[in-house]
Amino acid sequence: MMRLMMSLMMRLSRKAGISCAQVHDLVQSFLDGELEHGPERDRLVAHLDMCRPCGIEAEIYERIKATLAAEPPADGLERLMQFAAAVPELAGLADPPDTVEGAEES
Amino acid sequence: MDQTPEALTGKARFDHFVVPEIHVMFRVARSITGPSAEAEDLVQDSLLRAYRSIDNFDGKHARAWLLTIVRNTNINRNRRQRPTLLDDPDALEVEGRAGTSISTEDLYLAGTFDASVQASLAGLAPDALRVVELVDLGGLSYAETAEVLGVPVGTVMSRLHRARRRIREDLRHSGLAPRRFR
Repeated sequence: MMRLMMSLMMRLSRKAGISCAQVHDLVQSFLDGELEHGPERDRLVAHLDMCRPCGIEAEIYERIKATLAAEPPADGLERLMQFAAAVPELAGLADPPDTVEGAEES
Repeated sequence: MDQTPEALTGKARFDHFVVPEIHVMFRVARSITGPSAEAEDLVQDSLLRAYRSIDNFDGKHARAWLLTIVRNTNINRNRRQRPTLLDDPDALEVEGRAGTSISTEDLYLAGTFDASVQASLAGLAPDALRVVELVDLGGLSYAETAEVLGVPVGTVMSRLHRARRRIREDLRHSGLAPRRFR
């Protein structure tokens, strides 16, 4: 019951003129840079500054995004760049790979 | 006289459209195979396929085209390896969900945030995974992703946000993120 009360209070709480539930709906678009500049975005930014649970939520999504976008190791990338330079010669030597039915590449 | 990118052929076309995207191809390959040498093999095979197809490529959304090649190449590699795997029941366990070479259990045991995120990717539905690859790994905007997939921007948003919420929930189950207040 206590958890339900807290949950209801959090959903209804409004900081900087926007509720936690609204922030939850918008925060991913904001972090993706897809939320247009304007009053709604300003309220969201202000809310994240003053609401600790929502601030933590934004940090988690930011870290998920950063993990997914992490650059691969430089040594492996260097090897692949060297391989790419040799691809015109290699492509003529190797057998054509199999194709996946119904999964065209362009 | 300079040629427009669309007019390039062969190696020049490959250098223009493919080489600048190798780091993204590598990133996606690592998300599929795990951080192993297999990711480099997958990108190498994908580069060969891309070179053979480069003159038929229409010049639009090179990154999305190449990420599709990476995924299809992985499907073909798994298909070729399957008869061997079926001979060895223990080998099936390392293939993991969605054709990954590292099991989700192994990654969870590593106990890190990054490993948990990578493990969650393997459990996403194909439609959701495709959107995550294009937006989070490939850096495409919602609008670009919608155009590539031929779906409304709202569909991209809902698939992407739902996928990240799933990843976030997996983090919570792994003890790597707190319960969300709502």
